[in-house]
Amino acid sequence: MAENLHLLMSGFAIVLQPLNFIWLTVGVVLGTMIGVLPGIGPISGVALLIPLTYNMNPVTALMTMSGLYYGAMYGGSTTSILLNVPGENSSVVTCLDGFQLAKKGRAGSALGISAIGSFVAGTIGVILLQFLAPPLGQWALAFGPAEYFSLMLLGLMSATTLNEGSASKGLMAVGLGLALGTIGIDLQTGTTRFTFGRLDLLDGIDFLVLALGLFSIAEVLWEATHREGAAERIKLNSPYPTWKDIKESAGAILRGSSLGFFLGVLPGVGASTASFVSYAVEKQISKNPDEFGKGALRGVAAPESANNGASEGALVSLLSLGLPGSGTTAVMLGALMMFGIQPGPMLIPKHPEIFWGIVASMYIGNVMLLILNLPLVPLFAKILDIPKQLLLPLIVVLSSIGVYALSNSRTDLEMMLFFGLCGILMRVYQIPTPPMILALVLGPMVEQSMRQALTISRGNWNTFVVHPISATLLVLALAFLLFPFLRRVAAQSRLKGVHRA
Amino acid sequence: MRRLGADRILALGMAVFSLAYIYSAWRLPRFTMSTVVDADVFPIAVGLFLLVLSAALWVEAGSGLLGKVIYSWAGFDFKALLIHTVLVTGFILALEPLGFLITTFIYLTLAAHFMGYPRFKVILTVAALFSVGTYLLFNVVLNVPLPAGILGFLGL
Repeated sequence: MAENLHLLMSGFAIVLQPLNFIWLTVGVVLGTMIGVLPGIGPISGVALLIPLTYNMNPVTALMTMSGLYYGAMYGGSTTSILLNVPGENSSVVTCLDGFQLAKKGRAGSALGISAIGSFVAGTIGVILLQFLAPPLGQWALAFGPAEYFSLMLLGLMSATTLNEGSASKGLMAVGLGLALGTIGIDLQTGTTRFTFGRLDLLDGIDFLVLALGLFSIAEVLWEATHREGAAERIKLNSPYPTWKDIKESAGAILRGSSLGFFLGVLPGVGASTASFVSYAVEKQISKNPDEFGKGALRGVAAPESANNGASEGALVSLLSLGLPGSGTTAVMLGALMMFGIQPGPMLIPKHPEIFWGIVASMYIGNVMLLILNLPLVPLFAKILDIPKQLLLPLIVVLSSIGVYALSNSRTDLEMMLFFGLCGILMRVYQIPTPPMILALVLGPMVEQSMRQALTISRGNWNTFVVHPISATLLVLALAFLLFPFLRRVAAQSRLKGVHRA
Repeated sequence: MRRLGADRILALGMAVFSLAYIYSAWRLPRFTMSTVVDADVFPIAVGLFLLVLSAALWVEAGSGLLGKVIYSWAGFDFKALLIHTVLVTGFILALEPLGFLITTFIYLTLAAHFMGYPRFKVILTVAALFSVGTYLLFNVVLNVPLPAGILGFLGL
């Protein structure tokens, strides 16, 4: 305990070094901006940040990236409330009541409560992260390759099947990501796989190429092909909520924060799912559920707290197990490896400065974000005045810098464009893209642990089921795999029952 | 009806891809002496996984379970997609030979223009400031070199 306090203090000492402090500020400000802007989400935000961090030390880079990630959760609500257009997927549900409140002249209450809710969730989240991640990592130290294989499989399954939409399409995205991950030289045998004789494919496809293609480039091309008129924006007078507002939403904030965090810890449950679930819970336990959808303040407080809680919960499994649960944390995992840091349970004991630096930066970052998002919210809302026609081409250039600086290779840029076009097709045919990034990052690790486990067991596949932890994880993975199909079948039989009646 | 067709085509396309992937994985050279698990095992497993999913999607598409989903190319401006794909391709191809400054300036000007921004002076100012600003930020401040191209003689 005392040792952890000491480590936390050294974390604060790292964050308060002038350069780190400046970068943290840059991270949270950029995060808020990216949150405000509809379309550009935290995945492309973190990916676009990577070229800026090439020459940084890993602590600075990661605190900037995580600042951007939770900063985006703060900013996401602004457009949901003022424009009825979610800034992020995780703020979709905020539109329901946020915009209604704004129409009634209570935009200030809604924005203020979502900033306060985000702050409370962020602070609760970092306290829980600080206490949960180290013991979880300690526990996972006993994991062998078989357990790791099963754990990653579980992560991939749950990341896909808990989302709405067709489960087979989500799993296809996982399969495609895994397949992309096999391109290049196989490190164990030296065999070149699926390179079609091209030398520039020997190193495989970098996660950054895929992430920037599928998210940034696809977004720009998508926006370029869909010109929409400016939406009606509601004027904002004061961003401060009243005491009555705070009292009314305190319970929802606390429930949303803790629910969001624990959902975020589960592999695969991202901020979007957490915000939906907490909204549903809040509506269920409300005395006046009819108010929801017509301007209930608690309908803003709960999801906005939950998405912040979830974004910090997601860092638990990333930092303690090396298992990313969402697209954004998958990009952060890729960045960790780029810095030569082996993710996994050894991360906290081997690089305490990274873990405690991030934890300390989150305490400070959340205070900064509260200040940025209360008095300065009108200023951030002005970002929406930047014409998209000017902004979108800049994103193409920034994405290209990110990819080019990585390898100085034109092929990577061409692949980024190719993935951008794939991203458009995937959007139209509703194949989710984040699972593909997750699978590309995890794929090589899944394969490696599978082979290590089989080498230890001399080729006996039973190794995955005779280890109790591995077997449990596999059963869970199977449950996640079958869950959406069972849900569908249940829905169908219910439908048939209704028809018969 | 059109929607149902789209999902089945997707399922078929994925099945063809999976088979091709499995086939090329199966044809990888073998190193049975040195390793327990050869380079082809994991790709074949992934290919089979994709093949099963193609079948699942085929069934799903026929069962009407995806009933509410509607794919829409409506409101999709194919001409704009073509123009912007060509512009990004041009940017990529010209980046090394012409250099970052010139390529970025031209790309930003054309892209903003084709996106329909009306004020040309603003476009030119933003394009100039952004290309010079980013170039200096990366080359001088962050030490991440961007291609100088034909302006290399300036020694920036």
